[in-house]
Amino acid sequence: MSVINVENLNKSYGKLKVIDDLSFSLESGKQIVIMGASGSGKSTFLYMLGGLEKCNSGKIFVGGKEITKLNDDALAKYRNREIGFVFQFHFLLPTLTCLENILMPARLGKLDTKVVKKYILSLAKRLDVDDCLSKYPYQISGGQQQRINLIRALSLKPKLLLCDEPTGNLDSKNSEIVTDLLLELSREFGTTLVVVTHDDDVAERFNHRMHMVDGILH
Amino acid sequence: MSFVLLKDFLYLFYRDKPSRNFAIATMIGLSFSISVILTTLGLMHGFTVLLKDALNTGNGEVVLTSKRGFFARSDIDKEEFHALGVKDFSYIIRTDSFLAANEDGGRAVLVYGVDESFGKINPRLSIPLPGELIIGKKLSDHLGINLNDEVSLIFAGGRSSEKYLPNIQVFKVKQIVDFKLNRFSERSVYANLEEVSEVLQVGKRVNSVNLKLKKDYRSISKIEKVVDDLRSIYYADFKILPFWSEFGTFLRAVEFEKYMIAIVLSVIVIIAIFNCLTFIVYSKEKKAQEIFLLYAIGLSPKKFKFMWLVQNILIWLISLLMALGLVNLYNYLIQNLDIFELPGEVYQLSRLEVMLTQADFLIVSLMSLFFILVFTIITISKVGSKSLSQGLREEFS
Repeated sequence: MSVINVENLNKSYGKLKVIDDLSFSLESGKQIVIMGASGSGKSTFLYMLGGLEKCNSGKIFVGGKEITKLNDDALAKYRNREIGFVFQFHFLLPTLTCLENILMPARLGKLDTKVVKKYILSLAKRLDVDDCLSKYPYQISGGQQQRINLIRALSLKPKLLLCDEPTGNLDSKNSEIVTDLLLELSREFGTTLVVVTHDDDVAERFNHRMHMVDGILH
Repeated sequence: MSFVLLKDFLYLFYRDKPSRNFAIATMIGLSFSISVILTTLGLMHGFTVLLKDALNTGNGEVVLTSKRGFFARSDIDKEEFHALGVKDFSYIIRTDSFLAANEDGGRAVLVYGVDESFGKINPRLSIPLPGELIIGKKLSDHLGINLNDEVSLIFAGGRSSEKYLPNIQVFKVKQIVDFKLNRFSERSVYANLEEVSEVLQVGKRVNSVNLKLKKDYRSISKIEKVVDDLRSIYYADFKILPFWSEFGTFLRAVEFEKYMIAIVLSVIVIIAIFNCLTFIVYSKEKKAQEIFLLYAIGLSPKKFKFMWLVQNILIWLISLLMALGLVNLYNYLIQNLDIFELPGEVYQLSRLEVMLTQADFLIVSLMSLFFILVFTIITISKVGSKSLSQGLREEFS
């Protein structure tokens, strides 16, 4: 059963066409990597899947819901409850501790943070960052920051995990650890995983690989 | 909008010191601006109230002055007075005189010849017995007169048989009163009615009646009605005026100026509100990473913009409360510091008091809230023009 269905998606910035009549579908629980050169439109496509970017035309269905029709409030709820984002840069708020950062989606979604916290602690233990939770982002390493970021993305058990160059800012050792974790956790929780990268080493670990060239997926 | 979300918003945005300092400076600026307007309006209203109060206390609500010099007390129909709402009244002789305090000093004064009945018009005044005189503090300061000093009142002699020779009467100063009204304090003296009658040789006749109305008749509109009723009866013989009549034009001018000044001063509130807007722009720039990240993890931009609005409303509310505190502080200083005492030769009142009416407070607070809302909405609508992905890329690259 497809969790993502994209029909004739188009996106332009002025005269520059970034996504060109793209159609795509992905089954639930699958793990896919999208590769492509800089400016090929892969990140834009990912952001459109995550409701962070609007398309010019076409339709995107996620879990049967047409997200291209959602208004700002519904899109925000969709991003909060159904999507987990992992970005190249850790995107942790510098003024909050790691635990506060992880709990932020739950707070925004008005969920019981006590229940979420229990789950977070088990994930943090497993990812070996449980001693980082009370620290601020600047007090921990880049690899640890990305793992904290991953925990935040998974904190509300999303259907879809979208990762934009998740290892782009890490050394090879940490890059391997984070990639393994992404694959392992998405398999375990049945989360559909879409990773955008230009790193061949990361891409090789995925069974399903696609290439984005001039806004078209191959 | 949940309180938790607002708490998170404030927590996130005010955790760093520069943002807190900026917010505090913004609130101080706004509260100062609001307090300046409130104090100005309060002072002008206080002036009106104090002036009216001083005039009312000294004269009762209505003053009847004979158009034909002195009149017999029987000319007044007491029953008619009561029927029109008069509670008490007092016959008075008002006449000009010259007060000589010592060999060097003297001043033209207005003598009020009063009897016990005047105690009901002005309860603060003890009624002078023959040979006693009550003077104002300003007059006593000016001429160096102390309690129990002997002073002379020199009356014109036109009514006595020895024509053109003045009558000189010696009095002992019984009481020195701090009249709130400078003109009273500098010029008015109170003597015994019978004694003044004797000096002027007018018998039992008087030239003025002061009326104290029943409690229900003391509003401005009721007093005006009583004045109209009295005029319809006594128009031929008496000049009938409400207690504020002498200052009527002046008081109306003050009232008008109050609103003109409020409009002019509203400019400083607008300037202070620009600080709030600068604060939004500053926060938006400084916290751009946080804003776009929150958007990415599920905060609706619409809700977030609404929180900016709530934040500025909170700034306004806190500023308003601080402004009220400042108004009280200014009032305390105006009431207690010597530098705020007004010179009698220029001002009617010796001290002013900030008296804030509910209407003035509401006008100023709602006006500032209106400006805050309008400017904030305009600023917020201009702030969030970037797409989320563009913002994330720019802020985190």
